Order: sequence, then C-alpha cells, then structure tokens
Amino acid sequence: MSARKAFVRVTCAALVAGVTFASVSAIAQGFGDFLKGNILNNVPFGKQISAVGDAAQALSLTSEQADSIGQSVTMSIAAQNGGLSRDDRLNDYVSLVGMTVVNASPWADRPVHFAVINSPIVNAYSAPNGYVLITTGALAQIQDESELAGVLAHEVGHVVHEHGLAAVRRANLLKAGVSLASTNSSFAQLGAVSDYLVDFLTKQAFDQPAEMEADDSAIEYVTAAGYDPNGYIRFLQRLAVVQAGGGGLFSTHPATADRIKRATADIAKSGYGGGGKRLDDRFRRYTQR
Amino acid sequence: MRDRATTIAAVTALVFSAAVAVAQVMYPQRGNLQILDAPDIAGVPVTTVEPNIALQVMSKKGRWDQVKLPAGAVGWVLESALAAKQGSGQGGLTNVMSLGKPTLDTAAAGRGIASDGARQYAASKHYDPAILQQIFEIRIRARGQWRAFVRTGGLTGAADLAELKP
Repeated sequence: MSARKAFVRVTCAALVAGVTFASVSAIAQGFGDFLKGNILNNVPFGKQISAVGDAAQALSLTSEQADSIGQSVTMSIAAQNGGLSRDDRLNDYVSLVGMTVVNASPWADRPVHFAVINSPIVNAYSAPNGYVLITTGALAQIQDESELAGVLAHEVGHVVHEHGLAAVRRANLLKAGVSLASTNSSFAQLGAVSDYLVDFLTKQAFDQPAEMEADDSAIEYVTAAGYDPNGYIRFLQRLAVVQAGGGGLFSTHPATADRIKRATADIAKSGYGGGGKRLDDRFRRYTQR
Repeated sequence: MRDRATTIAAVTALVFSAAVAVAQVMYPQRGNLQILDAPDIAGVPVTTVEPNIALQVMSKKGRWDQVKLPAGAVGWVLESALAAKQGSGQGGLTNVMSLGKPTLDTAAAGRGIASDGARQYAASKHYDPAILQQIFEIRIRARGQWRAFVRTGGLTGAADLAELKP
C-alpha cells in the first residue's frame, strides 16, 4: 500500500467515522434537542458564549466531577492510541499554540491542557473540562502554525461549548444502558460515563451542526489571537483534496465542502482584514521538517 | 469660599463613588474558578473558589479584576468570570459523587492533579496515571515560555488580550 493510499485510508476512516477533529461536542446538538427542547438548534452557531456553564448545570455535575471525567477520557484515549509523544519540544509547541487560542476564547481564565499522541490517524480529540489531544498523523498533514492553531481552536470550541458534558449527560440517559443509580459507587458511575464517552469518541459519528459550531469558534479564536484564519480553511481543503483523490467515501460526502464554505463565510463576517500570521518557519522548526 | 466647598464636596463624592465602584462584591459564575497570582493567563493559580464565595474587587487592570477572598487571600481573575449576582452553583450529583479536589498546595504550585476519580479509573483499566501527570507538566513548561512565544510570533491579538508587556 502506498503512503498516499495509506493516508487516504486512515483519513477516510477517521472522517467518515465522524472523528476528524473528533470531539465529544458533535453530539451535543442531539443532546441539546433531547434535554432542552431543541433550544440549541435555535441559537446561532458560535454565539453561545453566554451558555458556558449551562451544560454543567444541566448535568448537575460539579466542575470537579466534570474534570474527573475529562481526565479519565483523556487518559483512556491516549493509552489506546499509542500513548503520549515523548517529544517534549513538540508537546510544548502544541501547548503554546493551544494556550494562545485559548487566551482568545471565553475560556481564557481556565486551564486547557494539550498533548500529542502517537497515532498515524489524522485526528484530534477533546474531553470535558479542557483536555485536547492531537495525533502525530494530524500534525503530519499540517503545514504551518496557523493551520495548527485552527485545528486546536476547533477543539477548544468544543470545550468552550461544553459538548463533552452534554455527551456525558446523554450517556447517562439514553445510551449504553448506563444508569447512575444502579451502580454501587460514585467512582463506578464516573467510570461508566467515561467508558461511554471514550467509545463514542473513537467509534461513533458526530453530527454536522456541532462540528460547524466548533468551526465557527475556531475562526473566531484564531482571528482574535492574530493568526491567519485561512489556515484552518487550507487544512480542510487539503483533506478534501486527498479524500477526493483517494476515491473514498468522503469524495462524495458533502460535510467537508459545507464546512469549508461556512468557515470561509465566517472569516468574512469576522471582519478579518489580513495580516494574520501563518508562521510556517516556526512550525517547521518545532516539528523538525 | 463657596467654590472651595463645592470643589471639596465634588472631589469627596468622586473619591467615594470610585471607592464604592472598585470595592464591589462579585461572585464566580462557575465552580472551581481559579484565582491567579497575576493579571495574566500565564499566572499561577493560588486557589480556587466556588460560585457562593463573595469576592471583593480591590482593583482592575484591563479585563482582570484583583479580588480579595473572605479569608484574606488576594488574586486575579478575568472580569468575565464574575457577576454581581451569586451564580446558580452546582447540585444534583454532588451528594452522590464525592470526587477529589485539588489541594491548595498543588494549585499554588501551578501543578495539575489527577482526581481521585481519574486515579481509580486508571487503576480499573490498568492505565498508567502518569499520563495525566505528563500532560500537566507539558502545560507547566509551556506556561513559562508563553509570553516570549506570543511576542516572537507577532501575535498581537493574543498579546492585547493578555495585556502582554512589550
């Protein structure tokens, strides 16, 4: 199998499975529909800053409980996907870029942790309460810092919109037969919801509206941080080209095309006037290309 | 004489109103809100507070409020994280689930800490909880480099938001 075909295969597998830039957030729309009478569907994407904290309140979870779930999910995904990269310089770089976009987000006063995991699959994950993982496979397809910022900002968007917590609530109520009341201890409850969330992140699909919501946030955050927001578009376009060339399912899938179109409109609406940084040299230095 | 009295009264009123405006009592709008040692996202957490804790705003610096806790500790928090009304707080599973909270010592050291729940989860799955510690350490290292990173990248938007000094 050629390297290109291998890339197409893993990319299509990841994207069709709905886990490109996978985050728990994608399912939030469905959870919102169930829990709040479709309230989320009536809120413009990317305009839910005031809703920060709503999901936690709806869940009746303390932030400590949410953090425990986030930690467990993060640990599980890392352990199941090659573990953390031992490249401190690369981990630090991803964290630095991540901190920069977080600082331009409504979560500027809260810690978000970033790390690289050793997986060839083109993917990124976010877990409740501020944990973001990106694969070495995704980094291999990124060409400059603005693109990396866009991918990380997308995940931060999922964190800000608390999609992970919404996933936890749905896991409790709808899926997997998880009944908190039936378990014997609080830690068993925590483990049950964490298991469900890990399974969802790695095996199930996410709906388009939530991904677009995170895309909206990504454009907003990277622009505010001083990056070229077109970097995120370039990365999505690169994926789409590779997918089309590979003739995989994604070549006929409208999802990426729709996301590119929407993100492009977001940039126009943001008032971005150019001058954002791409920082391709710095990206190459840190990634040793 | 009348002008002097008027001036004194006006100045007094101005000083008084300014003092009242600054020494406002505010409440965290979310749980586990970190209070930092500096008005900067790169600041080190000195403690965390819950929505029912009244914080006295001592001064302001850009988007950051310097607050005093009831116990006397002082730190900084983004103004957007506070409101004049007490937040709704948390409930529900609070009484059912009892998970570990970071201690003040670890928070003051700027270190993350694996929760009791995550540690038990790791044990049940035979995962190495050191993964979490490594993730926390990545952020600690990056935090020390972040100011220079933003400055050398010319990321002016982020610099503005963080009130980065030249």
